[in-house]
Amino acid sequence: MHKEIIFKNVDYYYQHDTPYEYKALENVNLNIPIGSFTSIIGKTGSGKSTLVQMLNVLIKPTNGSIEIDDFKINSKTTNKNLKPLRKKVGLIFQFPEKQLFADSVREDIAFGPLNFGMDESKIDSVVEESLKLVQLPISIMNKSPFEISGGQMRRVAIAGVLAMKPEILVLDEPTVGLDPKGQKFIMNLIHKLHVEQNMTIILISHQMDIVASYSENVVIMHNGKVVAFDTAQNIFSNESLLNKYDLTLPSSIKFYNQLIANQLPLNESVPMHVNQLGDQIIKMFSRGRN
Amino acid sequence: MENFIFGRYMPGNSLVHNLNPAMKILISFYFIVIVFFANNYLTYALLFFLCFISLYLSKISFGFFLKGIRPLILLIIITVLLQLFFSAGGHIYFSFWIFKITSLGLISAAYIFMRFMLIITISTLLTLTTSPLAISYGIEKILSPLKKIHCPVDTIALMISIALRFVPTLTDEATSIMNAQRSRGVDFGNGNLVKRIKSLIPLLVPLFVSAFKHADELSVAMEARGYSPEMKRTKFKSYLIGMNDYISMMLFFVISLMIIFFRN
Repeated sequence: MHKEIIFKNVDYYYQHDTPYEYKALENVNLNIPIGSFTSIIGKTGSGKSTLVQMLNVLIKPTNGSIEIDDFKINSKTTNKNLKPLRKKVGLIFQFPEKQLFADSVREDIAFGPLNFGMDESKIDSVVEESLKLVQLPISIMNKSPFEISGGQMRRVAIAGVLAMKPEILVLDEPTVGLDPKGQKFIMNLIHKLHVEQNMTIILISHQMDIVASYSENVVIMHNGKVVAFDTAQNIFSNESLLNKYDLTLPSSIKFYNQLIANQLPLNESVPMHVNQLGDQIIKMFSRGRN
Repeated sequence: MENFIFGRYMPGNSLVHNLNPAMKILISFYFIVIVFFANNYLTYALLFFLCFISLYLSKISFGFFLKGIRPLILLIIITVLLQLFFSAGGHIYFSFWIFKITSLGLISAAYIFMRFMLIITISTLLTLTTSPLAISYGIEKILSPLKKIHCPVDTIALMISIALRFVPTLTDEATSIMNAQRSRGVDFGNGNLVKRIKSLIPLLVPLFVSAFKHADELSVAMEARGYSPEMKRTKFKSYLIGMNDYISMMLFFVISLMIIFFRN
């Protein structure tokens, strides 16, 4: 068993061999450690979503291969026997509430697990467990997914994927369009899954504050290529790298840089989270007092 | 599906692309009518010649075009085989059970094949070289005499262009919903018929929901920008009828005269 998800020389063309041909990924080589929290950042159209769709064989690499555990995906992979892989890798798409369709919340959450052959008798406990994870009341179970609020719909959709008990969770901008409280809730949930269940998380996001606060590794994509892959600390310490690819600094680091520019004697390591910056400032003042 | 070009638009800047869309639609229909006047090899040759010239002037590569209409070949072959085996008359070459190959059957199969090829070529060429918006403009122009009898031609044209404009949006939407459901373990297009139809429900319900949402949002946005069906609307892009339009019309007309002259 591999301890990594391995992308080897992956190319992907949309509409290969037609005049509409468009190269979305070019020679992607990437090893994402199992059990890590890895974020993918980059401008719109840089190939982030294309890359993660391959983890479920929704599209196949035109050239190159991907290895996840014992699964090997290349252009010749057939569409048969993909269920074990799709059960292992749970994909939460942009605006996942779009995928809701069933008569009741219960049925919608049970849809994935039933497709993957879970026992009918276990379904109720799995649905309840997933609802508890996303902190929705059990009573919502018998409502139609179209009569609950937008934020609740998003949570139900996420619960539907979590009910499949994936080992690897891939999220494509899960917080977009939510209010700050909702965003924080979703990110805390993902963080909890990562820490408590040791779930591998792959997150696509444009919100640098979120990326910096939660991820261990960061991948930068640009024009279909992976241009940087390093720890979050190293990536966000390198301002010129971020500027080069039109990415912004997280607000904690922006503020930290301003303080440094004003000659304040802060810690050397850049803060990944506002709380870390707060700690550094408190320490600085207590140092100054002694 | 990716290689399927029938009904798709390919942007370009050729003589055929720049013809007046109303004229192009009329010419295409006119061509389809005269296809049925042809009844010997010379007249069919004339029509193929006309197709060839149009295709050449559109600057669309011949190989791409042939590859694009290949998915339709199955339909053509079935029709041709039906003609071949089931039409009676003339000398019988071969007979087995209810199948017969006769001299008249052979000829009519050949004619059907050629008619299919001609009509598919010209209609594919029409959609390849005319943007959806231009097509709706053309239809509006062609229907404009109906305004005299209080037919809401403008509204119909707007409806057509909105429908066409949302085809790619809904296709994208369908793809993303399909992907989401596939990663939840749905096998589209696998299993028996009942299973296949059942697997469409998780696709169709969200697709309808989003289509209605789009329609709702669009109508609000249109009202916010002051749309009213009673108002007279101007066009952002106007299409004039130029020299090329007259020349191509003449060409088609002359060829149709020749066909009427040469047919037996």
